[in-house]
Amino acid sequence: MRESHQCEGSTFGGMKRCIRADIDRAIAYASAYSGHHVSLLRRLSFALTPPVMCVMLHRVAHLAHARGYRRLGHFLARINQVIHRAAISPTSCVGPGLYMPHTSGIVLHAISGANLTLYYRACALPTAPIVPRGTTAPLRGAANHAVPRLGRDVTLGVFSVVYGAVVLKDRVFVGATMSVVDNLESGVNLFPLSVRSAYGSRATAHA
Amino acid sequence: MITWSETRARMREDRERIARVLTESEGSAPRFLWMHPCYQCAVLHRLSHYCFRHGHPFAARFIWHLNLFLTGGDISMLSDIGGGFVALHPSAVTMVGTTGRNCTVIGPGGIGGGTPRIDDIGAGPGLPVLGDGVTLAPGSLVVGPIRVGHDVFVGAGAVVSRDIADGASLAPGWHPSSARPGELANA
Repeated sequence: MRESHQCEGSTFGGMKRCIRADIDRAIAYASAYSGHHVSLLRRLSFALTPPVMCVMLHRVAHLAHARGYRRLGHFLARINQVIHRAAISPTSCVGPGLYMPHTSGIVLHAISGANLTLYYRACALPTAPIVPRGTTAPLRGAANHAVPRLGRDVTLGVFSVVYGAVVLKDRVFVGATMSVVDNLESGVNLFPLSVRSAYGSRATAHA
Repeated sequence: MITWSETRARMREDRERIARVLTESEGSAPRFLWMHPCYQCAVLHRLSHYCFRHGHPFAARFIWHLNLFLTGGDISMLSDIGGGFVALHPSAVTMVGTTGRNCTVIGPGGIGGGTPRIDDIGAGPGLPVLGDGVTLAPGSLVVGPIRVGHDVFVGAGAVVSRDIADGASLAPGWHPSSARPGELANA
């Protein structure tokens, strides 16, 4: 990804800051420790939980890829996929505070700001070079320029899909099973019809 | 029954098409293509399908599970998939049914049964048959004993449970009730 050199996680210090933020975010979501002082030992124990390990492995893979060790980056991403079942491209530039409570089935190839939350089987992918019909020779490297761009505090729900070169601005919430193929403004919440009918106006829908 | 030479020919088509797709998407094909999950997924399925058709169900099942473990792709040994198969991100891809040549699955999703209908249209009880050049966008599903025509593009998050005409391009989140004229076959 072209923007990888601008990514905070592409330097060693930045990677450490990102991992610290990732662990802090995981702790914040663990209700058992809310409001309590978190010791270093507790922080280390959190680093051994699968969601945080998965994120850390991606951070290392991204750092390796950004520093020129592309094969090592892809190899680490592959290990991550085998262990945690999450296919996160090492080219994905994700800001600090990435949180994935259940890593299975997550597929990520995108650029994202801080505090991204991905739930089970969430998917953010660029447009594939395979086009439906007509064009048979898309631009070389087109997929790398067509990655989704996610802002800060974006949440992708269970089975949700973000596909193509779309821009999701800050604080967008994509609910379960929703597919996004167009840009979304800040603060938009997308919910399936069943949730809208159950919660009424609290769930705002935008086409 | 599929022969070994036909299996190898399909593997060759897979390799050539995967290399072409990766070249177009990343600028150059990986030097070690056999390490790429996309290619591993296709090869392991070919071996699994061949073993199953030649009376080695245990070997077929083992390779199927190996595929599931290594790549995350759940490609059933029963599935008869034509040459040029590409599962770009095989993690969370499920394929049970019959497809033609040059089938592409971009992200999570796939084809299978799971509907109350269990009639056999050529792929097995309750399973779909896809034509050549079908592309499934992320999150899309083709379910039930239906026929999907050639060169069909299934949009992201679409759930297809009706026969689709050749060349249709289904919108994201497509559902049979939202079908436009010409998309459904025999409509």
